[in-house]
Amino acid sequence: MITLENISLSFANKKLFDNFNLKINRGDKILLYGKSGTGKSSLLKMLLGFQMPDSGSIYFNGKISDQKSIWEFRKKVGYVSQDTDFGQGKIYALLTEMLHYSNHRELEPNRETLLNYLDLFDLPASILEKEMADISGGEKQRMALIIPVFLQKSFFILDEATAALDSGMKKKVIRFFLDHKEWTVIASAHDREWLSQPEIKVIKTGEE
Amino acid sequence: MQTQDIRLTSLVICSVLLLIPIFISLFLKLKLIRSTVLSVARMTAQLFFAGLYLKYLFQLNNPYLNLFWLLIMVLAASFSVIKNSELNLRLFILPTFFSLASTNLLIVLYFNNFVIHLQNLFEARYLVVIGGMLLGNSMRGNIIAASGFYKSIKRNENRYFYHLANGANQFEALKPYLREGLTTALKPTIATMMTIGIVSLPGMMTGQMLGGSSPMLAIKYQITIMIAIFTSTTASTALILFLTNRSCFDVYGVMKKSVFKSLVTK
Repeated sequence: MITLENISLSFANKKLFDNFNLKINRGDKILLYGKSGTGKSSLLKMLLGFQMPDSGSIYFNGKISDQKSIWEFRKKVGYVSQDTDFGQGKIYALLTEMLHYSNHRELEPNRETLLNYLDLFDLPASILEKEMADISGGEKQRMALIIPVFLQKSFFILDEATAALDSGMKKKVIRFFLDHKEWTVIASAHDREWLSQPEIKVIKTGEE
Repeated sequence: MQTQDIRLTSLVICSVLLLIPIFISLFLKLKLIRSTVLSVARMTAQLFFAGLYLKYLFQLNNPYLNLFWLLIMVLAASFSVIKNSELNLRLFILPTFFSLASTNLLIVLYFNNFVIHLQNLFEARYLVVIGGMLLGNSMRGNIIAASGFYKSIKRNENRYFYHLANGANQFEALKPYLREGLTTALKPTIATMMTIGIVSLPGMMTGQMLGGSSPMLAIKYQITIMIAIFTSTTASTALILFLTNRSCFDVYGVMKKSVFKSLVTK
């Protein structure tokens, strides 16, 4: 369980959060819904320790977010943001590199599952041989979503991760994440496809 | 075989040549006259000073003094290299000094001992001169790599965060940037070695031959020096990146804003 307690954050004199509270339980599906510039990304970044709140605290299973608990938390996280930039090289080289992170030592990579995910997200298997610079924005975004799933993460932080996808694919991706009951998902979006899902708990940003 | 002397009057006669660039600058309104005159004057003064201190350094040839002098050169190099970059002096001066000093000193001593078998490893003519040459070459690579490394993380923060937030530890997330930084730093030296002797004759070789060495001896020095330069550039660059990694990121793995001198964004 993750608790955000009395979080306040301002940017350039604009108050984004003022004593904001949130509890995230295992299996929750939470949507941060609001216009851009209302602090959705910042909130997700605070969760990950990439951004410090001006005041307030974040707890992971009762332990305050610090240099130990944050790295522990990140092990379980799959994070996808809008316009993920992979850098250079072939897709499979990136996958291999990420599979070899010391945190993933116990994973047993399975080619079959990878191919299934690619198929599910309408990507050809040949994409693995492609240069990252040569694939389209939509393909890149789907690849960015597949990687953490393939790495068997259980806590997904999706920052406008479906924005670059067409409506059909968007729905498919959203259902895919929501249908895994055991996964915790906290997403930010400003598209309707997320809103209409029954299991989602919506938190509106920028309305204080 | 003695090198022809250059008399002071000859220096003046040589300076007459400068009338050509000055004329061109005037004609094309390059506005470079002031800086040309200033830079020539500075060069002359600095080199006279260098000639003077080297003369005394060679005469005294005190191992401690030579070593001390080399360290002063490292300190000056560290300052100049950071000043010419966008990096924060306070965060970078110690790691830069340490990495340049340790790698260059080790390599020059290795060179003096195993390659040219000097009796006195701290002999001024070799320690200061060869050390200085290694230093001059490695400091450029150093700062290209360090500022490239930190700028690239800042520019591609998304990519860095993607890896951090998908299970990478800090070192693993930084690896692509480390590779990129080191490669950019080493490419110029590799390119130089590729064309050396065909496109240009390096200054050291030319100098040795003017000083009376045989071409064969001069090229052997050049080869060994290039290898030493390449090694010291690689080692000091890798070291500075590793050393600054600790101080330039917070405990959450986020790059500190103070890495750069001025805050352009936000």
